[in-house]
Amino acid sequence: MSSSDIRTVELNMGPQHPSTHGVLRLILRINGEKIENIFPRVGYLHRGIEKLAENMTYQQFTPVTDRLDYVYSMNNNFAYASSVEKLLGVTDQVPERAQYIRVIVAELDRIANHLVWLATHALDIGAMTPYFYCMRERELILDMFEEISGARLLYNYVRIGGVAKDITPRFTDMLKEFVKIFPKRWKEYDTLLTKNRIWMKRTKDVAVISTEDAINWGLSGPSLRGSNMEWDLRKKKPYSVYPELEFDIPYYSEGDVYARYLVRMEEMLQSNRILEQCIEKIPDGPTMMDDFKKVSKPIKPPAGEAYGYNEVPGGELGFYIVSEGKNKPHRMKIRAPSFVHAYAIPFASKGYLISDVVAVIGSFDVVFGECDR
Amino acid sequence: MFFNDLRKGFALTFKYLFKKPVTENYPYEKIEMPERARWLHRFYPDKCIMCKLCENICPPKCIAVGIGKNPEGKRELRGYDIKIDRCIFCGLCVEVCPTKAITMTDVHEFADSNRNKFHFNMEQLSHTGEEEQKKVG
Repeated sequence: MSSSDIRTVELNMGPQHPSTHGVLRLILRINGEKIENIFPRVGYLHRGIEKLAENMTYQQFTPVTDRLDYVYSMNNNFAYASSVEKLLGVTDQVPERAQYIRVIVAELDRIANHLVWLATHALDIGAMTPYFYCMRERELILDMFEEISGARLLYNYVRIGGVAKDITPRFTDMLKEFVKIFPKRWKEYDTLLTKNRIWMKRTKDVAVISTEDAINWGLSGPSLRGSNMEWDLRKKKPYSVYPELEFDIPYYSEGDVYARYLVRMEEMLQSNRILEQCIEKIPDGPTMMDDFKKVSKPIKPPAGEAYGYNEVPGGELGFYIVSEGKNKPHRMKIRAPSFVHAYAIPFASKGYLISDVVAVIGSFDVVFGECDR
Repeated sequence: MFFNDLRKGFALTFKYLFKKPVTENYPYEKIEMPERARWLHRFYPDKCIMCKLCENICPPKCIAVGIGKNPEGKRELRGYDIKIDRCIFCGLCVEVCPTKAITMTDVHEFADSNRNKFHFNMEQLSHTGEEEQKKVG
């Protein structure tokens, strides 16, 4: 054994490490404090969701999609419902009120996800205070979801052909109140972190990813937008009623953890802007297509395949569904952003220190319900 | 310079020192549940028409409807069991029911360390939310 071999040490990080959220296990190959390589081991939360889909009817699978990324369940429902609608060819027939409700809950959920992300990311790096501020606003959003769907985490609300139930007047009041106070509350997180010297020291110039590398590694969502790439499916490949709404895509050129932090912070305000417009524009009318009102009525899409995608808070969530004309899908492939991002961790953190790995994991917002499926 | 950052942060947290806490004093003060709350089921045996739709739609297959025949040869309801420990509270059984024989209540405090207590039968389910149910469950 040569002396260079002795210096390299393998270190296990996770699956119970407090900063590898969920059940991520990383095998770090370190030289002193420096990362030489990382081997992610995923699959501790594998439930075989893709296989489960093959034995379930299309409606039965909706509550299971909640369990992909449990932090933004509404967006998962939305992505799945629009994929099946694409397969059926009824995307244009979904009532407009349902489309607006979908956008409202998706954007609320985007804010909720980014709040959880900010809370835990800051906690990992050592700032404990933002956690309490973020959870306070998330609670307001969860209360709203509980009002319309009856559940706080696994909603089963956005369905194939519309939404399960119409929104209530109380929900509208809560939403108006939330939209009004959120920008003020947002400023508090901003005060606590954005210009904080310790925060900047920990995140600036850490895990720099160039635009080219980000595309090659398949990054999407805020992680890609942090690397000087203006890419948002809501704008570039519009779906639902997003073309009628005004919002900007925040993107930063630095490509480091701090840039990805700024992108997500900015996105929360943009989501708030979308909500403000939705409150004004939402029309009256039905919230469900007549064909899908009965949950027990089997959906039999014609033989064929479709790939539906949505811009979820983590990135691009896609459902590739193959149908053989039966009431159950023949094969379903889920393109989960967390899985792609988990395998970009080694590339991004090579050459940095062990404590930087914690910042990198946080900056990609990897959730393991979705990664392991 | 560095002191300035600290000052800003502390000024914000100091402001909240005199405000009321937003947390809820849950086990001592009960929280009001919304109308659509999806918790423990309540079953109405006289409304059930034994169509088995709830059994078929249930994603984890935790509902079992027992159907038998009485001496006259007519179908009758023998039992209605839900394994609550398997239930994912998706609410599909409630939506699918044509006669609203199964509903969901806001009874949510039924935690137990014994797994066998989560197999609810028709007798227990038809009294959900009543006082004696709390002793049974």
